[in-house]
Amino acid sequence: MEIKHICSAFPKKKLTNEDLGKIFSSYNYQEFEEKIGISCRYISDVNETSISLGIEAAKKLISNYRINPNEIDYLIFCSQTHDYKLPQSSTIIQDRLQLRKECGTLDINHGCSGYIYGLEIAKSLMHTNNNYKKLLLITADTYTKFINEKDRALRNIFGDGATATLITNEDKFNGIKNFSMGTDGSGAEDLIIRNGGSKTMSETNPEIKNYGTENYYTDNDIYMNGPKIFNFTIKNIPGLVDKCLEENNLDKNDIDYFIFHQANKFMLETLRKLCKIPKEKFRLEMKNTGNTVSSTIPIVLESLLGEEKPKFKAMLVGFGVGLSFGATIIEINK
Amino acid sequence: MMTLEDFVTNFVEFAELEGEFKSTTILKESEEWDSMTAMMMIGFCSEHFGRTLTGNELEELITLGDIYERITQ
Repeated sequence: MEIKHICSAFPKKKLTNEDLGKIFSSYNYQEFEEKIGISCRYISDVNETSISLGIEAAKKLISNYRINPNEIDYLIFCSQTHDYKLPQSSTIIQDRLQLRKECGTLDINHGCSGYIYGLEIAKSLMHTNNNYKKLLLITADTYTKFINEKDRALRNIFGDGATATLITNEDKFNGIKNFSMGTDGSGAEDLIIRNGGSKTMSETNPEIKNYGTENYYTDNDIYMNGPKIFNFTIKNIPGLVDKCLEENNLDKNDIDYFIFHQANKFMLETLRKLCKIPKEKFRLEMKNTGNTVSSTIPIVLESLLGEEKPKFKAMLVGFGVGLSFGATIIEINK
Repeated sequence: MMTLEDFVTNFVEFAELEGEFKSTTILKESEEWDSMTAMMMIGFCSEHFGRTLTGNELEELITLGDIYERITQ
């Protein structure tokens, strides 16, 4: 079982720091770029959705690697910004990609740890049913549709995007190793859209709230308590990295790359130091896309897979909304 | 147990601070002491002392010496 190919897709519209500097003129974007490591992100327009971006990524994958859509046995779609409350997105994607009717479909609602969950579910499914030989894992999010236009902090960080990963189970190669997962639901309120679910409908004239330095949002929008999320990661991620290594009987020297969820450079650098990971093994690749939620890890992996005859072991570490965290180790040998 | 001197040296190295920091330096007077450095301090203390300082707690503490005293209490 292994990760075979990955392709990503992004909305057409780019939003640069220069563009944002025209809106938030008193903010120092030079310093922001230096410390947070983001210079550009993609913003979906009204016609670009999680489903459409996910389909674009999957079509690229199918065409670039000449995959026969009829051979896909299962589709997992991970997103938190679904096109509809119902039906689930994966069934719509099955139809639009013209996957066969015998194909299983599953939506998972996870954010920044979503790719790790997707891989674990994929692995479990393939273990349970030997007939599943090819599985498509799609991640897609359009968080920017839910960010208040006056919320500078979130507009700076988040971008939209999607990825499609082909996972195959055609030989005995163990390319997806053991998982370590974790949850701290007590932090649910630290990254949340309060309105629009079945508990509280979206409001027509919601109260405008202020947080931090000149950031505004309403309960219809995404709210994120950055310092609390930061504390959650520094408390949980170093232990998670050690636990995942232990569960795989490996140590840090055995790992070629550490691919953490690309939240922002500052947070990742702090985590890198706390986890004592050497700089050269630690990937920082959010400059041109920002934080794309469940897609950040496969975006980094896509670029590593693009190297000639890639051969490496990588630890993948996801953490965020939920609050949720998870890690695994993958091996690529081409 | 980390001494006050080591605490200052190790944190300056961890946060890659370039200015001169002593245990008595008034943090708010340093250009390098911003919200991010403060968050790194929270991470540093959590890792080495198993104690998560809150933002409000840090606000009250004037120097690195004060922070050391609080987390080793």
